[in-house]
Amino acid sequence: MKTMQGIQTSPRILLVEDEPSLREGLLFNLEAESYFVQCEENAESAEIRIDQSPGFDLWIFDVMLPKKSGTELLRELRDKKNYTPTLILTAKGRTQDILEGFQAGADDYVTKPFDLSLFLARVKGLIRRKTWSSTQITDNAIADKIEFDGRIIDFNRQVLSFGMQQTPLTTMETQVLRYLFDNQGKTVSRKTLLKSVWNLHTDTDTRAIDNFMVRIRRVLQDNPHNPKYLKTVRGIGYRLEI
Amino acid sequence: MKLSGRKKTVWILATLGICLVGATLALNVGWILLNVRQLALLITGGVLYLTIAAGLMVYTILLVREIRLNDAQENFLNAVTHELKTPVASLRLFTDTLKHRHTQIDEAARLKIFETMQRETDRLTQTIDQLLKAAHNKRDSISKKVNYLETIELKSLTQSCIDETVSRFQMPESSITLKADGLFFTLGHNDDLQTAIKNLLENAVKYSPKNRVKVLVHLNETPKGISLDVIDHGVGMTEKEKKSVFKKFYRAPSTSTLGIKGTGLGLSIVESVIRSHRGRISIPFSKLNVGTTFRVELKKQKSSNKNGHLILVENSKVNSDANSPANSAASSVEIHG
Repeated sequence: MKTMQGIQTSPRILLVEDEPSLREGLLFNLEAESYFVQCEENAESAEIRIDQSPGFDLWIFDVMLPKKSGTELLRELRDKKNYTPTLILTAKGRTQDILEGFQAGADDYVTKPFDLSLFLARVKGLIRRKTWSSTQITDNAIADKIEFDGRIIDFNRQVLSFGMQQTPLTTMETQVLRYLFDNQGKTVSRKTLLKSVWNLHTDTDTRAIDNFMVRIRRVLQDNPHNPKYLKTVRGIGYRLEI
Repeated sequence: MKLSGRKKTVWILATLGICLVGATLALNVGWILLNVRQLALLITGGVLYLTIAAGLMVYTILLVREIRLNDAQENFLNAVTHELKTPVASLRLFTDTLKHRHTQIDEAARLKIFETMQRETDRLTQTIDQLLKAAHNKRDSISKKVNYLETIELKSLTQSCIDETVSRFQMPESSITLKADGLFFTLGHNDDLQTAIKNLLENAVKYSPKNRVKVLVHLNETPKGISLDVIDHGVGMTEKEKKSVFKKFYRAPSTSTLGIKGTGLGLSIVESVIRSHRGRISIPFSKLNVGTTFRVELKKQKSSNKNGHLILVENSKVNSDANSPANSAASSVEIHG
């Protein structure tokens, strides 16, 4: 929630969806929840909108968009260091599709068809998370941080600090890091990670997770190709050793 | 799709692999023995070498074909997932909306929601029909079906297809115009022909610029029968696309760029329906950014059955049997309506 000259304004949401009926339905429901929603039909017009009027509190991207997909759009925006919370909304519900979304930098993922209440709860959760991360938590009692090797991970604000540099983390990156730190020193299987963090029960190739773990290694150290903290345990999964 | 076909390919690949290993072993042994019986073994070795080379070529071709099939299946799966899940998601969303926000929705908004739900249901039904038709068409060609055919008046059938398409895409009536002088009778399956015409119209609409759809449907009598032209002013096709457009699962590259949704089954169903009616489908004209003309040619129904009577034709084929006076006397039963 933002304040403009002391006046509280509605959170701003950008909805990118090319299906007119879904777009109208979502717009109606989000506006009914007092959000200020702007809609776009494709990735190109969404990029222009983001450039011209930044400061959205949440992006909701469909994946199967014409020309450029929602995940491609998100990847490009993340590369430009834009860390606006993002909810991916798509018909593609396979494990590898979901992980691809998270790998692109999504904070949450909802597959079509979806329950409206659940969708709205997730939207609310992501906007709340954005509000928290923009608020400096000074009280040590509620601060939830881990410090190692000159780096500080702030789980509440979803931020990694290294010297003067601060890098925002996506919700999913924060959750994976939280799980790994909670299980420090133990080998965690890929299947367990998928189940515990993503709530994905899968019989398919769990190696789809590996690309995501490369992102995590980038958070933990400068050179992810020579893993120092997050080790791969051949044939099983990963182990965090700080 | 064709599981048995895929298994067969895998079996061929496995057999070929085993044969190649066998041939390599034989060649090795051959080289050892070469010192003893040089000439004979040299010939054998040469033959084996050529066999291996030929085998490798076949192997590569089959492998490429298998990879292409996999890609096509993957694209098809994505398209079908989208086409099935999106209307369901929309229906679910509006049902939830009506349930949770009944006090916030006025009568006009409620009516709009119902209309949207109806459209989405039609879309879902259409996709399911396409999938079932694609599955059935392969198995049950028209001659193998229950064998009852109708006299169909194509002008009224085409007009009803146009009306349905115009309403489905919420377009002005003038978007699709029908030009037809007189009545055009053919013998066939009403539902199948309706599907084919609707698919052609849907295609013409989807590939036309949004809000500027201008499609002309022209029914004409030709010396050979009846021709139905569907002329659009859409994106058009390249020569390469024209060749592949009737293949199952094929989707032109422009579909992803322009965000045109579909399963890649529509035109393959049209082709299959028209072929099963012993007709012909062709693309007499297509140019990029100018438009495309699809032409369907069907047999003319003899004048004796022009009154829309249902005709039962037993053990006959659409074309030869139904049109042959001898056969129609012997194996057709007319039910006058």
